[in-house]
Amino acid sequence: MMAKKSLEINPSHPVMKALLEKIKESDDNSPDEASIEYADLLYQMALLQSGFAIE
Amino acid sequence: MIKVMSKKLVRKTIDMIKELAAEAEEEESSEEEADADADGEKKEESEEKEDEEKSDEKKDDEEKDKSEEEEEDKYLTFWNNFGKSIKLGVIEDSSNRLKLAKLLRFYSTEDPDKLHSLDDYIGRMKSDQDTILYLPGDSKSAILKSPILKKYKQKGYEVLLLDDPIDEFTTQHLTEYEKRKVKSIAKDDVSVLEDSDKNAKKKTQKLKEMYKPLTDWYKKHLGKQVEKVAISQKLDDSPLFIFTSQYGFSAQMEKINKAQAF
Repeated sequence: MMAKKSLEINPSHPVMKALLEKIKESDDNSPDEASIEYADLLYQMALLQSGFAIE
Repeated sequence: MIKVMSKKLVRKTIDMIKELAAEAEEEESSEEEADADADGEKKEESEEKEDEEKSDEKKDDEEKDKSEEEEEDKYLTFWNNFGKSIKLGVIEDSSNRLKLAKLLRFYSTEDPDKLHSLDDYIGRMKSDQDTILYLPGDSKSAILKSPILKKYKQKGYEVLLLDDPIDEFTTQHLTEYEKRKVKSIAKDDVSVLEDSDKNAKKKTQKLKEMYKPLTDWYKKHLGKQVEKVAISQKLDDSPLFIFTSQYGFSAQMEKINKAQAF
């Protein structure tokens, strides 16, 4: 059984604001490669900080 | 008959330990030796009964004798040696749960180097706080570094730091203490920090809409890895955090579960 994770975003954080802009700029609602990579990195970082293990 | 006796014994022991705790606070030490002796005798008389909890408690007694010899910080010594038994007691012995809960000691954000009782905690609680908050983790220093702790500290809420793997089981069984819910701040159902007035609500609503593209995309991108993506008011200077749902496993529990898998 796995934990049910719910990701919460800090709306006042500059990184999140920037990411939002990136998504808004794009046509098909998906940001460029670099941003995707960065979003992944942030997620993994959050996993670690929250006490999960990265798979 | 035996049942009744064991029940009474357990109760007696708990009272005794409680006394010890109270005395440790008052820094007194002379009287209890006599008490302990009397209890010791009773212990021996009832040795035949083998209730689990009782043997637990019995252990407690013995070590209590020990701790008496060291005059200072007796309860601390007791706790360091037998805190686990008390925690187990809270989990397993539902009839004495509340009594045992009074004996629990945890570290807290108020003073991370000292152990605090739940009553201390309640005494320091803010007037609008109806929940006992805790955060489980691997070690005290790791917990203190957690990004979700910051905002609670900022706003003056005290959070208990549970660095022992068994602690989370204990708090899960406790669920309520002195009519106050006991909750982990790493779960998503804690609403202590949420503003309740209308303006703030409107603002979060707005933020939610504003961030919709991002949350939608993130959810799509991560797929099944996460249950949902939401806007948080609990974070201070970290961009995101992963909470766990109220009834599911917590991060700590997942780790324990994995360690047990064979």
